Amino acid sequence: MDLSIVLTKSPDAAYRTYDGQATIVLPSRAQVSVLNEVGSAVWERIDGRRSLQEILDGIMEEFEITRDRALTDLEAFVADLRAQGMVS
Amino acid sequence: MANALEKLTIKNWNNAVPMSALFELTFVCNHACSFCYNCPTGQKEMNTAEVFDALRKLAEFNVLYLTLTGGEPLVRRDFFEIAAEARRLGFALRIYTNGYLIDEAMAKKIKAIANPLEMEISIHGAKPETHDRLTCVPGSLKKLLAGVGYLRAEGIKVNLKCPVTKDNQWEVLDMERLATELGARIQFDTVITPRDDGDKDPVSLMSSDDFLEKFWAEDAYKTARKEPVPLPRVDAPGEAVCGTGRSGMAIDPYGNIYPCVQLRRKAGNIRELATLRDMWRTSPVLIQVRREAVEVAQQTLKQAKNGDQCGFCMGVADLQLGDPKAIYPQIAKNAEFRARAYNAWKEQSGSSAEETGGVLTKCGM
Repeated sequence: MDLSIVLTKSPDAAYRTYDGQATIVLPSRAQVSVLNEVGSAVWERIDGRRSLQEILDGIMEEFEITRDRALTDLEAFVADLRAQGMVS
Repeated sequence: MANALEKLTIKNWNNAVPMSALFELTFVCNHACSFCYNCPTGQKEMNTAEVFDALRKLAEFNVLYLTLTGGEPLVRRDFFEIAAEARRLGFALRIYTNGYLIDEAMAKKIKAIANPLEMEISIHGAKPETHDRLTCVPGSLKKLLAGVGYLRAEGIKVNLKCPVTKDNQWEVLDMERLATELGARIQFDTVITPRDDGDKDPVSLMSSDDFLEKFWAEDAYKTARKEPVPLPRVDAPGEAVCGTGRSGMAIDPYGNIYPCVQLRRKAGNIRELATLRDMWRTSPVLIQVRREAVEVAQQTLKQAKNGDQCGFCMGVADLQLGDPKAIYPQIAKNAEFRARAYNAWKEQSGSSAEETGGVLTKCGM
């Protein structure tokens, strides 16, 4: 995964965070997703400015997680967000 | 097993964290439905800047789902400015309209600017003479159906909502067919409510007993509601009857904040509040309705005949009987026919809705 990539949240996505859980609504897909704690932390950091590397560093700092594990999870999570049209 | 969304919704419900708001942008309407519950007072409605400020406060309070309604919201000249601002603030929008103004260009604009999760549109009959008589606007059904078609062509989800009255009750199945043809959902509400000022005239339009019996019991009508049986409600110990003052709130065109669209007890005015947080936590009105909502579920309905078949509304009870915890005639009547149909189904199938995991969905959840 290219960690220099900067992601932007889809303008289609409506979202709020409740008790650390990001809740994302995609009207065009009539879909609502609730992210887990780590996913929510990634989602909050996707702001059109931070690179994936910076997001990875932030996640490793916030959660007790190895770099390999964080990288694997981030890769899968970003792929999922892209597939669902939540980020570009 | 509840999924993540259900778990979060229940947690927020139990902690009175509001995820939704209904915003009546105006009481002006291009229809004149005889049973409309709105009661304009003649006060000055909020202007664009005031609405923007209210939206900002709702967003800061973490409200996610926002229904823009009226009156007829699309008659506001600044409607699309408001919708764009609401989207910018991250709300998931629903627009509740009578559909009269939606032509092809308007549908495209709704998609491009509001991008709603859903459009909710009132329908009052399958025949023009029925719908148009209730709206008092000739040609209104034709325009509504065309509007639904334009919205569906844009890929927008449409949910038709029909208050069932004695005037349109025998057109329920035809309305269901119309909705299916247009690729829309339809919901029927067999409880007609008094006006917001307590005027009970609209209640006289309530559908007849012979219709209600068919509606809840006959296969054709059950199919129309896409519900196999009249599901009973299940209220866990300590749980509230509905989400009034808990999962959401309603705001009128003057900025007044209510626990929900039906229960018109003023909790504050959004124009006068710096934030919603303190009002939500300390408002005596909200504290009281939350307590009463628990009492209705735990006492009123547990003691009432057919209480588990009541889709109870504290607002209607309050308007009609002056007591938000009292069983009102329309709900007693519906519950009687629901219970009769449910018991017959249980006897036939040897099963219960609880065993199949089905329960009545609570208002506001």
